[in-house]
Amino acid sequence: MLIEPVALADFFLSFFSAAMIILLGALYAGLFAWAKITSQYRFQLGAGLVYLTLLLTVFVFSQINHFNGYWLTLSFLMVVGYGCMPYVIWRLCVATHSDESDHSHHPGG
Amino acid sequence: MTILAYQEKAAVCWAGCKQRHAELMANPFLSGGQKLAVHYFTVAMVLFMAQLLFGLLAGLQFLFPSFLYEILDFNVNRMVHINAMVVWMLYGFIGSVYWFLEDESGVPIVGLKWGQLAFWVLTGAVTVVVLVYLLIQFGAGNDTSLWLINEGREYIEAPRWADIGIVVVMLIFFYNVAATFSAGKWSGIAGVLTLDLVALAGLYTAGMFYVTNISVDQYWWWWVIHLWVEATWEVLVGCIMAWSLMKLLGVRRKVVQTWLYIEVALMFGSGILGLGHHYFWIGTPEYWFTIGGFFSALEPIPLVAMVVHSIYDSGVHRFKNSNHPALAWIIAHAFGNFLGAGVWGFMHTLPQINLYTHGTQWSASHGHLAFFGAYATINIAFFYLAAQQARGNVWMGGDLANGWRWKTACILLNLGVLGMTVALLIAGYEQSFIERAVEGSTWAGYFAAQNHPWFMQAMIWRMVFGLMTAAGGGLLFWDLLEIGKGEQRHAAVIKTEAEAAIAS
Repeated sequence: MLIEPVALADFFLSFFSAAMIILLGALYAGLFAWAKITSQYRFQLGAGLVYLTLLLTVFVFSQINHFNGYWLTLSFLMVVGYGCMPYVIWRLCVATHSDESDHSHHPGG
Repeated sequence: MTILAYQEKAAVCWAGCKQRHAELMANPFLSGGQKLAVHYFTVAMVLFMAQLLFGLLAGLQFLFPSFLYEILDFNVNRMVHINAMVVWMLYGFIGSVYWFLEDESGVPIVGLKWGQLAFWVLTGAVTVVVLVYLLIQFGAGNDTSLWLINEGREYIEAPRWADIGIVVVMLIFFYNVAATFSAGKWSGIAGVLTLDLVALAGLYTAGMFYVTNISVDQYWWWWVIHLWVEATWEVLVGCIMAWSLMKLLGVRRKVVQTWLYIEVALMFGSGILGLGHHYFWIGTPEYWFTIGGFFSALEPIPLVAMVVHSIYDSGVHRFKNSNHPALAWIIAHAFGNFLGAGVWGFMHTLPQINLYTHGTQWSASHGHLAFFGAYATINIAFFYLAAQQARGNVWMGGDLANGWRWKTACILLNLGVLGMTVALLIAGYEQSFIERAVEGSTWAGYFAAQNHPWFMQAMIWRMVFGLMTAAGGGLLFWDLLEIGKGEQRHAAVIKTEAEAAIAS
């Protein structure tokens, strides 16, 4: 079998860490965007701290789900995906609104 | 009450329906396509009520297994509950497209008569299919039953004749959309929508042939279930949402179309091969563990990334909107989709844990919140847009008369579904743990899990929140029938983004 199932004792941690990955990913994206809009350092710091927690959660999730070999690529993709996507989407937001009137306000970028 | 009294009541009810229909057809505020759309919305709401009713009956049978035994069995209630959901959502989507088709293309619908005929044929077929479900509940399956009674495939149990009818209706729908855009003007939304309808009709045929190898049969069956829901429906909702945002918030066409393309790309990038998470345990090769696991894990990333865009828009563009109930349901859509599809999906999608959770109440928990969040909410939002226009494009902002109704319905429905989701999550956790992991999926394990106090208590709570959902559904139905009646104020005028920017 190509996979090793989650151990009985790790059931709760598996569900919990999976949910936390998505919730932390959303929180990181939210703080990242808010930091861009308000240009406040504390939100940038918050986003960074949340992302570090996300890294830790992905590590725990990978351990519990017995990721090894090419399954570790998935951990890498999650770390990179959740880390980079907010940047990409922010740039897309700015780009799609780029030809608005000069009266409109474009923060960050 | 005597039979005569029932007949009189039915006659009064029928006369009332006919009068409402005559009023609809004479409504000066609606175009031909929009009148057809209201037909679809009406049946959608009736089926939504049926979904709630049969869901409650099935939920009660978890608590009282002998309730309606051999009168209306659990398998029938569950089947009608799920089929009603699938069909009311389809009715909602088709109605929404008919609603904006003329506005988007700039010309009247080319095959409106065909569309009307298709509506009555589809509605008649749905009625017959449900009656057959209810009247012929068990018996041996053979070629005759497959064609006339029940195809035997979970979630798409409709008999073969009805399957063919559904495809024909979808093709008429496709013709109407493609021909109308061809006669008028094409747009980005039009292109995406038309291509998606080809897939919508085509994919359904994957569930219409039968093979004796159950693994192969399930392989194709999932094409309908997963790819309809996580590919074609998602795109359809994207198109509906794009048009709604232009009307509701005044977002520029270029912006919504760009994001529609991005959404399609992201969704197709992960959603199609996310299909693999259904192939873990049906006898397909082991490489599906990897494909399903990887792409399912990547599916929530676009959902999370969209948080950035919503914050960008709320922070940079302080939009006004012309329809508070519709906007409230669109916000519910964003949260429901994120939690139901994203969080609840990822918690049990990888094969390492799905081995234990697959097919337990965990799946039901995910299904309830994901379908409600991703699809029911957007349909309801559109119903409110339609109600506003049908009543003469009236005010639906603050200080709306009887505004408590839509607010209470919204709260009851959202809390009810969320409560059911959490209750089912607890039941699913207990089943995964005791039935699957500890007892090794034996019959003894199955019954041990079903009789465990955690499971029973969770089912009681599910019933409580189910009643809350049903109350919200009833209130929603009432509100849609009454909202905006007698309102004299005209709807708030929404400036487009560009106009707002110049004004500032």
